[in-house]
Amino acid sequence: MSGRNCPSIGVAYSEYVPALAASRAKLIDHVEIPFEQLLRAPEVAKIGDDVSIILHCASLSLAGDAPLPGPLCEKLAEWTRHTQTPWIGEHLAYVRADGRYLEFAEHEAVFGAAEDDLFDVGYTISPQLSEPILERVVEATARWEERLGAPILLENGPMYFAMPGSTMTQVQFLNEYSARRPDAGLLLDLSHLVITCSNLRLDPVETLMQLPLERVVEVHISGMREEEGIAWDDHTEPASPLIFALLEHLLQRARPEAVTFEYNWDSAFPTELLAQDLERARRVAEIASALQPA
Amino acid sequence: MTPDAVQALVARCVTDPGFLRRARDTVRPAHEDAAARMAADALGADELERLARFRGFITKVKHNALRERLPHTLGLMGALGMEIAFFKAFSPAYMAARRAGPLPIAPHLELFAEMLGEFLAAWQDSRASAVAETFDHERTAFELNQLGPPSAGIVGAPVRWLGHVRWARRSVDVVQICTQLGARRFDLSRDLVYRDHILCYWLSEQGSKAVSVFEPDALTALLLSKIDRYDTPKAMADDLAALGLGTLDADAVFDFAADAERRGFVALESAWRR
Repeated sequence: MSGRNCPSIGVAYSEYVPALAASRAKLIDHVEIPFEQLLRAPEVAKIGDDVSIILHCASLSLAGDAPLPGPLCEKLAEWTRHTQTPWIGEHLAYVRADGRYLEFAEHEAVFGAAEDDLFDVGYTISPQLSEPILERVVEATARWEERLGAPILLENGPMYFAMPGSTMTQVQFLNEYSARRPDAGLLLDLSHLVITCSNLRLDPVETLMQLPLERVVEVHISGMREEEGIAWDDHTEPASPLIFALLEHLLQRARPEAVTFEYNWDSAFPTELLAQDLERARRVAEIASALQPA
Repeated sequence: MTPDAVQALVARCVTDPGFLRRARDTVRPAHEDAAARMAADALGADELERLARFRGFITKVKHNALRERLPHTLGLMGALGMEIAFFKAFSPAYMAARRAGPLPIAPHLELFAEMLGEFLAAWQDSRASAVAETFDHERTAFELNQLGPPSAGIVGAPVRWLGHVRWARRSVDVVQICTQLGARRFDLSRDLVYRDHILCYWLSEQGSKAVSVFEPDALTALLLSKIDRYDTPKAMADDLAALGLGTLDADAVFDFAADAERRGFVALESAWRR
């Protein structure tokens, strides 16, 4: 994907995607497929015959202390090779937490309720933003890159609550991560950024500008919804005008290689709406590319 | 507390509803659960409440497979701002039900229906009926799609349905709700239209496997819903006369039945032909 003037414009896999890709040949440059979906339905990788695949992942639990089980590591390595993905996007998050803490004398009584002493949330949680977790994420991403032979792009997650013990903001964390891993790229989810800003009462444009934008390799776009006083990620809804405004800001300052629309929670998402947004992103990228110095 | 201990406490709050309930139960002085006290101290009441909502959000995301069957019920709940609140209430039952593994669609739908009914009954919002009827609308279509061919037992009857039919009285325009939500054009102030009407859900035994939804007028609905109960048009006309519909004589019933046959709803035996 490198070498393009404009980023590759694509979509996260959903049931409607194969038909859309087949009927409108130049609409979709790439399809992003979650590794977890390939485990359940390996046949979806067949779309790789028509468009390139980017692998996404939500299982590595980079910020956690419970590793991915060995057989799944092998599967991930297999799919990395099979799809020839240019990189793997993974969240700044943990998914599993090991309940065995030696420093708690009362450990058995405290954490013994869970089977195998493992709390498997099955969903990404924004971690404690602290030096020890930063060190872990730096080490884990480097280790996975070596193991898989593909770059790991660290993705900003949405923040829904304050994690006790955090000593830095997510922006500080990502800047420090980028400083410690000078060759590592980022996956910037603009919707997650807006959600976090909304929940923490931050200005999204200012926050965007504080990120190491030159390190952004892939961009995610999806919808969001506010309920119960909190902004939530929502891949059933299209992106808001604010997301496109942020995309414009970003593309005026950086050259990501891919922009991926994640409208993948509703298999009946109106494809005309998706097509409009894909074309809109392409226009934004083309204008930004024309305005940027070579 | 170490970062891992903090993260484990949060993960346990999200995965163990009983633990989160105990952590939030700060009014009980004789609390026995040390870890729950630890969570309460570390997170505080506001963040524990946010975690409860987050757990609801995760449960919502895990319903994306069910969303294929109920896209507009869930869409409407989101538009009404009650989706997270519902899934927050639903998550303990859902987590308990799927402890042994993923739920098949039918029992999942059953559990969802039960919990939605309880939630709506307690919601005390006039729009609850819109959610309930949209759910019933989508569930009816789903259940019709699960049916096989019409049973052989009714073959040979004077009037035989050429597919499956269901009738429902509606007080809110669920078709408009679904159409607008499907196109992402739903406007709460415009598209929540309350009006009494009848919907006919029809799955033809031939052709498309999709359920069609019609809105017949009251008389058409009455005639169609009763047509297979009579041996002859005259018997039906007599019954209608007893209901005060004496203007519909046997000839009119003949014509109505012939039209229904032409449209592919029913097959008529000789007693129903002129």
